[in-house]
Amino acid sequence: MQKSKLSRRDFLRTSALASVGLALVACAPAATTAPAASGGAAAAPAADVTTIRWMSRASAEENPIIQKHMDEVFSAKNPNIKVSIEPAPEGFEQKLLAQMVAGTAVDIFEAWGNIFFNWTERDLLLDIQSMVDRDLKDEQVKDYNDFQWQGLQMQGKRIGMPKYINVMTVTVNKDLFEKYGVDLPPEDGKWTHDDYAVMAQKLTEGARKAGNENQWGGWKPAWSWDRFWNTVYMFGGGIVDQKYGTKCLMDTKESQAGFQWMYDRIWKDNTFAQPGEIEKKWGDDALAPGFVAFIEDGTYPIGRDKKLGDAKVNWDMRHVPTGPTGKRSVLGTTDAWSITKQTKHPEEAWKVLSYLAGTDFQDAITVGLQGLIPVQKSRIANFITTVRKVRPSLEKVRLETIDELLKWNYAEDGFWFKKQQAAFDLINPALSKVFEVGDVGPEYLAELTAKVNASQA
Amino acid sequence: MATQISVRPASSAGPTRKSSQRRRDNIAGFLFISPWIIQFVFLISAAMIVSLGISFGETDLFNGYKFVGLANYVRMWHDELFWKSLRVTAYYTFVLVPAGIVISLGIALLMNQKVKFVGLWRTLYYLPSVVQGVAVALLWGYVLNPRFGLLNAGLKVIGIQGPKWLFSETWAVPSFIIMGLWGAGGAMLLYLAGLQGIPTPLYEAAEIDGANSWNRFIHITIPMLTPTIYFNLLLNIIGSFQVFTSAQIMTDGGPNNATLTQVLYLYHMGFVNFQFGYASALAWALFVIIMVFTVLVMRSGNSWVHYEGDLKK
Repeated sequence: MQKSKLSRRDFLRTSALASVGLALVACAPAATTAPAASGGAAAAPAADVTTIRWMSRASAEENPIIQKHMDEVFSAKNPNIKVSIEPAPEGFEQKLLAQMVAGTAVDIFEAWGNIFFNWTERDLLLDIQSMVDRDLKDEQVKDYNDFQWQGLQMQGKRIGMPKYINVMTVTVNKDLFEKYGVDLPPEDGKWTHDDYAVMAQKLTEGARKAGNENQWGGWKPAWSWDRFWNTVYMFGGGIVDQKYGTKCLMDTKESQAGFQWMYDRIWKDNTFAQPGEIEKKWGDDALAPGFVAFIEDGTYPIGRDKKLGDAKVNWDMRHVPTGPTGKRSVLGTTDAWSITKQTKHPEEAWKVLSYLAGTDFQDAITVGLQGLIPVQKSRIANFITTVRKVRPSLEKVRLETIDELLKWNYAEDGFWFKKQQAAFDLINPALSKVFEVGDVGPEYLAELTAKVNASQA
Repeated sequence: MATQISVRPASSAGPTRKSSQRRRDNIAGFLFISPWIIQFVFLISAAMIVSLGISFGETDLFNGYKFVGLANYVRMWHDELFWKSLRVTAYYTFVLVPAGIVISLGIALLMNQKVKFVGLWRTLYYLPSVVQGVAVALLWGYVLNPRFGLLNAGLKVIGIQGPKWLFSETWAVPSFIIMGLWGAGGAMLLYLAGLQGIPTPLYEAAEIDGANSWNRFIHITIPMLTPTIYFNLLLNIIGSFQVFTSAQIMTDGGPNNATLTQVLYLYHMGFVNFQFGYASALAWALFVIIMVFTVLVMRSGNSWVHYEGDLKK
């Protein structure tokens, strides 16, 4: 008898076979580029060109310009290397992680601090120290800033080349200072945390007297993992005993004094805004609407001038004040380009990497296109001139502060526990409890010290 | 009671035509569900099996795999954060789901009245459920702002000092619950369809028997809507246990882990801490928890879900 219906079993069997077939086809290695056909005189020598895949976090507007630059300038000098940009503005960590697991990671990507640390722990990044030793001259290396150059040395490996500089300064809304009759911080940086507290108090009181209940003196994100420790350092304290150390120092008298200073400003006298008071706005977004008169935040002159200029805020920048110990400290970020260990073309990837951290790319793209601070100390003066040409309104802003900051060498690369992630999992929620919620004081961080120490065992 | 069954007259071509039709129906049916079957077999079930295997080991997916037996599950038992995330998720689920049912049913009852511009009202109430994910999270960030937010401004009008919402360990989860109710319009549509499917003669008969509107609601509307309530209850419990986007975008588990949901915790363990073995164990624990509640709801359904025309066992 002829079978007259398709059973579920038949269907599933057929589907499974078809799907396996499809999966096999999909998993089969892609056909390699065929060599130029014999006699094809016009065929380009494509086989000699290596493509370097670069996962870029630049904006959608910037990526085509960067791609054009790499095609026209870099590839002109290096005809055997083509750079292919793969945009990943959001979620790049997950995307790259998935690529690494699948064995299809890009050659070059960009990241910073903790991400590098976690990936270095798992040996996912290429150690480029031998290439640096071979190809870079001493003066080139010395032209990079210590905090970045040392920061990119992780667990004995050199894991990347500096991308741009971001350092913390105090950005002020000059109009509000004038309105409330408060002197601007001195240009030469000769001021202390006592002056800082008084300044915030005067500004806040000025706002209250003017009937403004929604304005505070300052803003400092003490609840943020990479923005709290510099104050502790300036008070003579610390977070961990040494780089990759295991002993937490948050319970020392000096560290507690630093924490207390921040807590008092935010929660006791409330002259620095609480995050809930300003819609949890960050930096410029708190400064532009006039929620606060100054912020201790990163330094992006072009971007800031656009945003604050649109908001008609007359702004300037100053050094952070020194602590009671006379020490001055701020975060200097370790944003960098790195090569994945899976790369099949380490030499070509290194050529691209060293180009990106070189002066040509830094002048043309980092400064020229993105308005960011270049990584070479020698290019800072050029940076200041260039951005002032692009935005003449920056003539009124004391950009020389950046140059001084780098020369005075007080930017630092945060703190590193031996088991950084374990420390983060404990300290980060505690920072949120103390500085964001404010229902406990800094003693909560002191009490946490034993737990942090235990996590490092 | 005799049951009438209509019988089609037999003919010689009948069975062949019938089986041919049935075959075509089967093919069409299987073709319609084949994308799901392929996705389930090759993407979901394969990943589930792999993750089950990973849950019995230690791996960061790069440096090998070490079998550790039940160690990840034992660790979970002693892990404060696992229990905290379970409490947060359970609190969220067991307040949001009943509240969601009551509110969406209430809106559906209002939208089932004969009022002017009812189409416009229905659209207005349904619209919020279309907007989901990141946009909702950002929007509610403004609504819940302690100082400038709409919610506290509204509370101030009636003389109540609003809490700090997302900046308070106590009020952070209630904030998410309020936010979760934003999508009540989606369930409202289902209840509305259910309400309109209730035969009018039932109400007419009850009215003749002297039942007031409350009695009609309790003894006709609710029983006749139980299949819809059951469906919503099941899906909402499953969905609420998997809450992730809002917690990640708005608070990333803070303040002080007050909004650390289970999926967010396993995400952190896997994609931030590289402990994929433990993250997989957390995922399977969540799967079992959801399964237990799903089975409980399904079992209980026999006693409270009323299917019209269904025979009592």
